[in-house]
Amino acid sequence: MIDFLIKKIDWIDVEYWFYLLNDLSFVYIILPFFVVELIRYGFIKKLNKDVIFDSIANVITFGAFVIIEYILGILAITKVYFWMHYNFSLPHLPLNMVTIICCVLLADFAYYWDHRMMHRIGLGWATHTVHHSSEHFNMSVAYRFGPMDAIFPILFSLPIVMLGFDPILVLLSEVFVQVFQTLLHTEIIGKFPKPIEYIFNTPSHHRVHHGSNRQYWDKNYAGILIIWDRMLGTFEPEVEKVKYGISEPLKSNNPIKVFLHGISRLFRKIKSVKGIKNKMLVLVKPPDWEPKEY
Amino acid sequence: MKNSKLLFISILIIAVLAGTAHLFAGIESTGDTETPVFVPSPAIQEEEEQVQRQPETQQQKTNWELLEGKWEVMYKSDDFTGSIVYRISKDKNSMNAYTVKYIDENGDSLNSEKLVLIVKSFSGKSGKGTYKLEYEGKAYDIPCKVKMTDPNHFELSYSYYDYSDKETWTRITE
Repeated sequence: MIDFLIKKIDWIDVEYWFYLLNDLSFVYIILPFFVVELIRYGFIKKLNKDVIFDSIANVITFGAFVIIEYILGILAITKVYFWMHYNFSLPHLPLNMVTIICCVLLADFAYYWDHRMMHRIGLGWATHTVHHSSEHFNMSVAYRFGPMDAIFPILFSLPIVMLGFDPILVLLSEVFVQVFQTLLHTEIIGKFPKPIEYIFNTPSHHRVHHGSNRQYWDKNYAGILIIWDRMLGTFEPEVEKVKYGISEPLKSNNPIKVFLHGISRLFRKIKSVKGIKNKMLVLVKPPDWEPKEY
Repeated sequence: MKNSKLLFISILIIAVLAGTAHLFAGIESTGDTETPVFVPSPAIQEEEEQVQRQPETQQQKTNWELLEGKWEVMYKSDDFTGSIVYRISKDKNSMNAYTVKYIDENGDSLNSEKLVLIVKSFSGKSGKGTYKLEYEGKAYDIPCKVKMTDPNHFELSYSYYDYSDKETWTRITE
């Protein structure tokens, strides 16, 4: 058993597994699921113009996100990650089952904190609100990204590189967590058996995360494992029917407006508060924070 | 939940996960679970016994001599195309290979003397050592294997993360 866990694995095999799990999952799971969801919308007479335009806006924001991610990818992954790896890292870890599993778990934990930060600081929410602004909940919503959604994860994955993990493995693990997260955006699946719901993030837990019901705000940040939320005090089970969206609804399917509304709202808020200190605090305080004199 | 408690739990989780990875990285795999068993013929057994009866230092000395001398390796990569001449000589407990000169594809040569290979053990047919590589200005000590194919050739193989290579070293007499 130990031998199996520590046996050196070739990169070609690791890349092949992640190719199957990350890249191809769009074809064999995400797209079929979305089609089933559309059929379901048809059956329950909810397949309307709004769902269609919302989904199109989601895909367009994803396109914009990919362009930003690609530019950042060249800069951050090939330069910053490797530079940190060679200059500020613990001894480099070999590639085996243990290091891969630990890296995925660390990437999942980093995702939790990245996600929590995006909800709890003004600058983070300015970009992440895009993802939450849809009033629907289906696989296409998973692709609804904000303009800075690619930047924040770098801050949280760099420490993993510094712990000795290979930068490419860290990147593949991050994508794996993101793909797992994508699969949770569905209303088709109710609840899984209790042990699964206890350990893993599930569609039920993630519906709560997308809820605009007051008790569901800032809950269930997890990527793969919901135990992070249970351990860090942010878990909330799905009880009341979830109402999707944000507290101040966007009411638009214009992709440009969808993509940039968080940033424009942030700028408006910065403009409205008095004093340089307060303006700076808007960026780092929670999104609902107001200066004392207000 | 208090921030200090959040910090403590988070550090604990990171320490456990990263610690586990580093702990297991320190354990060496024994390789394939099925190790081929070689049963030597009586003639080979006798030969081996004869070798074993020799003083170990003498046997080792004889083995080392097989590697001693000048060797040439051809390279074809984006960084360098041409050949490098090496000199292998005996050190205290190892055989060390030093560069002698670089010869590019146009025949231009550049003298050099740099330690590139340390063979720590060598049975006369195969051995293990450390190959010293430089990549993007950083030096790496990579475990390598040496396998003698005939008295004038040996293969040097190594693997590091996703990169593995095999070099053929050819004896030269100049």
